[in-house]
Amino acid sequence: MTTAITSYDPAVDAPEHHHPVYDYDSGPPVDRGKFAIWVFLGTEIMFFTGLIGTYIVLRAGSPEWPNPAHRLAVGITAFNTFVLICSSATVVAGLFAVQKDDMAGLRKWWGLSILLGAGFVGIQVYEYVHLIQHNMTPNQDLFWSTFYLMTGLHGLHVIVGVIWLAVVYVKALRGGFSSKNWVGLELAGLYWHFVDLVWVLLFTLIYLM
Amino acid sequence: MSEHPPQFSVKKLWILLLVLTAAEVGYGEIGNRHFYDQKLLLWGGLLTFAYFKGYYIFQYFMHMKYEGAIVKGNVWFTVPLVVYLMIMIWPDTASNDKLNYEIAHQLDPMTGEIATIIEGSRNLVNEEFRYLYDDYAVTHPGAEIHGEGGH
Repeated sequence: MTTAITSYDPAVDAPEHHHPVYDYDSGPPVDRGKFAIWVFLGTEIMFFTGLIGTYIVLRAGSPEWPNPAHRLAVGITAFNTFVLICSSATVVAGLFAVQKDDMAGLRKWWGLSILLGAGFVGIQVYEYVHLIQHNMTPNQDLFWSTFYLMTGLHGLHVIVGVIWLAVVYVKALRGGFSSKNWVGLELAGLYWHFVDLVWVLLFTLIYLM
Repeated sequence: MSEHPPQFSVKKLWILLLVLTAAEVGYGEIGNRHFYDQKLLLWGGLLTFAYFKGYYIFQYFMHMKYEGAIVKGNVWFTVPLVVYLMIMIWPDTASNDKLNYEIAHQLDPMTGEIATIIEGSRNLVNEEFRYLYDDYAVTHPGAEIHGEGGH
């Protein structure tokens, strides 16, 4: 519907219809949700860049830095990385399923993603408990304080991601998505992949380097 | 949203990421045991693995490869910010001699002297603080703190 500004008629348009309607969209030619999530992810990139930058300064400024292989269980965390990568793959599989109107596939893959995400958190909690029981606490030295800061904040992001995936999953169970309407799934998936991407970097920096 | 983005093989990408992760962990294990002091080789290799894993997640799982200029521009604006941040912190990371503060040392609150002496680290601190190590050597003749250390 097109209404030119010059055709504004107070008798017709005011007061209920006093906003002219244009035949174009003043926003960017991209889904608003996707635009918003990418702006948000841009801020998250800067957030983790600040953390990693601080870690680099502290590490480079320390006369000694322990070999992480001597302090951390790399094997179990490598398995956890495996779990997180699998969860990213299942999220994509779920998204591809809904695009083909395969709702059973969506439920299967999305449910598996939630389980894998929760499994990642569980393994990280197990690691924390094990470390704290052996007196490896954040106040011991810079290695442990930076370790807990970065992995802890990432863990919080994972918890938020699992909750987000679960909320979307409930909506999917209620028939809230179809091959014509799946942007809600995509937004949750983008956040989840970002969390996965950050972990790839943190795992390399903290556990292997 | 109703348009279908280009689809790729999730299975192939999944396997590729797992292979890269396994290779990275293996490289890290070997490197930490056999060439831990060759940082360029060890860290360069590990970061290369991390880069490719991140690249595939970003380009395919987050399907940035298929996005238009607006979404791409939304993300790439962070690149100059990241570069700016790195430039700002570079003076502190490029050389320990240029550090404004000795981050890892515990200073005695009463004397301001270094309370914790780490063996072999004398040459890693600012020159103006090195006399503290020398003083420590006089008062603790048995301690070996004059090692050259090394970056």
